[in-house]
Amino acid sequence: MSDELDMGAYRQVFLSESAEYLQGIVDALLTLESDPEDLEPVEAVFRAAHSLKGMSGTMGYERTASLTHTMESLMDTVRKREQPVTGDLIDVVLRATDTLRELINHEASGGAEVDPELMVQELKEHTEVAHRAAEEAAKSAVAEAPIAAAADAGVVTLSVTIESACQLASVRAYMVLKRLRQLGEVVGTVPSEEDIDEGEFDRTFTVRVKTDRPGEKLVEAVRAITEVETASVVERAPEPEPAAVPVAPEPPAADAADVGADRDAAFGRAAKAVPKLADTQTVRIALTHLDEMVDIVGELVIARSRLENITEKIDDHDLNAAVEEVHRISAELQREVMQTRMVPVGNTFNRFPRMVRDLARDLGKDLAFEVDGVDIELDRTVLDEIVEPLVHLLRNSIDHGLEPAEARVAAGKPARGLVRLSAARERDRVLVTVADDGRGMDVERIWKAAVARGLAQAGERDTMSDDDILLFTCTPGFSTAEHATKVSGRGVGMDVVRAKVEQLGGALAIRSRPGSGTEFVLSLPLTLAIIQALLVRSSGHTYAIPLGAVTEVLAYDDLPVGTVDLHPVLTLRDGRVVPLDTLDAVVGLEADRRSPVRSRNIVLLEWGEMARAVGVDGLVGRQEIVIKPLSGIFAGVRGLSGATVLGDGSVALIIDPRALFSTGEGSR
Amino acid sequence: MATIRVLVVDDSALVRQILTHVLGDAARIEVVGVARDGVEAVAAVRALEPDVVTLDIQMPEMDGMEALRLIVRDSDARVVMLTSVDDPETTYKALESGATEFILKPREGLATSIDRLGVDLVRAIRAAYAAAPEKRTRTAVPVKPSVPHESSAGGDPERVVCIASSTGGPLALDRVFAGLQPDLSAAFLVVQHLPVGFAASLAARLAKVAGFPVSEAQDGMRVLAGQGYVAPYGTHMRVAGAPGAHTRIELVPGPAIHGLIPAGDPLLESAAETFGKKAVGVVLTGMGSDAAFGLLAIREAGGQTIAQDEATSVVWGMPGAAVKIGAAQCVAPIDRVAVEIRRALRNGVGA
Repeated sequence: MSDELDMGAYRQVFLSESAEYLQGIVDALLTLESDPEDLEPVEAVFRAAHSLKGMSGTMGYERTASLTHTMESLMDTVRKREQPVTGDLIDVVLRATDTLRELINHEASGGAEVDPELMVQELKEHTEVAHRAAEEAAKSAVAEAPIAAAADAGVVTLSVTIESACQLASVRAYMVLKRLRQLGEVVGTVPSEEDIDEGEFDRTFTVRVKTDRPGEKLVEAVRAITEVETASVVERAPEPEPAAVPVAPEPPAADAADVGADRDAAFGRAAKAVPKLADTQTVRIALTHLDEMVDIVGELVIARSRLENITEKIDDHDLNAAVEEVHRISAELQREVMQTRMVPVGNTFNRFPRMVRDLARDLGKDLAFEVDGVDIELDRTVLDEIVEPLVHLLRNSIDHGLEPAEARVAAGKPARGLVRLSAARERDRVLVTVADDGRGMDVERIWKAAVARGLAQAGERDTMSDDDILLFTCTPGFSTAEHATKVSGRGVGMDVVRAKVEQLGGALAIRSRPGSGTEFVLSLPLTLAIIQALLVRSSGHTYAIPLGAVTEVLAYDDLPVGTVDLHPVLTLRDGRVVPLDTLDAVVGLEADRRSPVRSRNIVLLEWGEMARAVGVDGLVGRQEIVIKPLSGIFAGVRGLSGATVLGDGSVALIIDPRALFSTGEGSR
Repeated sequence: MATIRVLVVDDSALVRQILTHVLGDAARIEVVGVARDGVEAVAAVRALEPDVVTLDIQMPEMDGMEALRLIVRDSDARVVMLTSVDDPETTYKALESGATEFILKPREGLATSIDRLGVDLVRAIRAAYAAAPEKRTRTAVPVKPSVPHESSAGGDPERVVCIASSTGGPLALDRVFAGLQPDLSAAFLVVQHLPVGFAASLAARLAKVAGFPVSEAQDGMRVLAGQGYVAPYGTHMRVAGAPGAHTRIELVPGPAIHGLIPAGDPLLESAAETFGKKAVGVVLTGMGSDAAFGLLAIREAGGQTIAQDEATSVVWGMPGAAVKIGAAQCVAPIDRVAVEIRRALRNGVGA
């Protein structure tokens, strides 16, 4: 039963599962750093290391097993409170995680390059220090005092109610007590713990916890448990016998100290906001399978269109009904298949808290990092492709966007900067935003630099919006930075960001207000492969215009056509005047091959806040099309984003609406 | 025969997939569900009422030990614990808490171990299924370790006590060894059906509860009076030599007998041949019929034979088979087995 095929499949499962565990470890470490006294994340790291050890042992990856074993041992000392949580400890485990990630990839592919021995030794040293300390402590009676028993330990009484629909009330109660034991000492329950365990309680029970944590923290921790309806502090009594507490151990606040502590609280929140993959029933499928399925469904959609064409000619009632049925089923199939490619952005966003933390440390920036909209779903390919641009934008915000703390205070802002990464759904697009509350961008300086570089004429200033001017920073080589740092020079790489986003069929917008911050908005398509399109004809060719960009279709005479500076314009009902061009002109068809007839229809397109009108010879209809990339001589033609095969087997070119709105060829 | 309905519980998708796959090839076993942590396990046991649960120890939300307690308390499901080779204490703790069987997670790479994992797992599941639910905790009273005895004797043994056991065996052996005396002229040889890698842990455990040396047997190893020997995984164990002279261990390769290697029959038969009436044979709890004919051989050679009784056996398969063919001179509850062995060594069982 153990043939090569199985082993390959197991290896795939191993790789994707270990990636999840690694992410879990990083998340937990960051959460732990934000609140070193709450040991819940330590359990998570310990378990993840343990599971990785078991899995790699199972696969026969000995080096991985050895490294995870030492990680597990180290976390065991932390879990037993044999050593405090310090910034150094977090650092060493984070570095071990980095080594582990590299090691797993190498060992799973049969490589031998990565030697974890140095890391193993380092972890062992940390572990042994703890063991020695524990032994020392065991000799002196002081060790009996648990670390948590700080001077202000009191007894908090909590009332906890389990949801009435809960089938396993005693199990939930067990989890409540287990969680509270991580935060203090459970000194009593009503009814008794035995009765609770037997399920002998009516949804509600009270717990007395000896702890130095605020009651709200306990409530918050308990409420986070599934099927806990409510939890509240009934009373908080000071410890009755304050006398005989022996020399209180050093508070284990560590070198991260005060500044770090609540700054990192923000990281902790962010990390917690990321959904756990394990929360849904999942099957693992290699991405290549999904890609293939999308391709096949694309073929099916094309074949369906052909079938529909034929059916129209025959016009048989039964055939029509059957084809109608095929249409419905294939549409459903297509929706499901596309859905399989959608993943929550949280899957990718969850790697950023760590990166931001390290970067903030390196640059000495004090900042809070917020992540929002992690449940928003995006096509897997799109998501993978925007990682690099996002990394760049986040670096930009941290390094250049945020001023030094003194400057912030001088400007009347809080010393701690804020960087925010969020996702939101807007019709058929997803907006991903990287925002900071830093110094903002200086539009006039960018304008001057743009003029100096010959990108714009000084006289054009009034015709351009601030947002347009900010986009000059995305021109290759554009920089206004006085001095570039190792992290990023302002502007460097922005061209890459914009190019990548546009390549994905998205658009980049920059909004900035001097003194109050900058916002980069990536507007991205939900999916890449299949879109709704309006098919139009022009000079004998069929073109597909993505429906997302089309706001209205008009007959030529519906609205008055005029001219401005000799260029035809259309005056819309709301009074806006938009430029009007023929589609032939837009795609750059040579004048002698353009249609001699006057356009019969006008398609009104909108992109962001801009609008344009395009004249076409006629409308074909609305259809779902499968995008095939252009190759050969067509690749890179401005104005076209791809091609598609139509139901009758002919090819239609797909209009790239973005190209119509960028300043340059075809727009005037 | 009925199909055994199995719930697989493990927080690792990899392990779930491997176990499900391995069990998919086994006859009369159906994986009816999987769970990823203790809470899901408890809920799934309630919803699916599986016959057997394979349970991991380290899991989020609720760990395997706690889930084990609740499953044993609230359902009839028998539990096969997945433990690791480097943590025998946890294995014993699980058995004491009501786990019926256990297997060890593979450590040396699937490519070489997946077939063996499948064999171990299927055997453990069938054995656990054979155990009556109410037997899950009956024998599970922890035994306190003895104070180590002064090392005595050390010469060739005058007598050998050969013990065969399977499901429920580790805890039964605890009770037997806790009641034995080392200062006898006998050596103790054990065949316990175990997952790979556990013989050394079992030997260490028995040494602790008995207070005299017990080791994992090696081929050609000299057998000394006042000491114990546990058969390793993967070979049959025989005792060679004669009473008081050159007694030693012989490890012989397969084939497996009753699908088992080591099996109890070769050990008991060899004891009948070499020690005759100076052999004592013991068959403890376990599924199947292994060791019954070996025990009969000892009885026919004039040795003395003991079988565990039905009430205290987790599965009264092996002892029951021995009783049915008239191999057992004495049938005793587990707490009396050590006494009967001591009596047999003094003056013959039932005397």
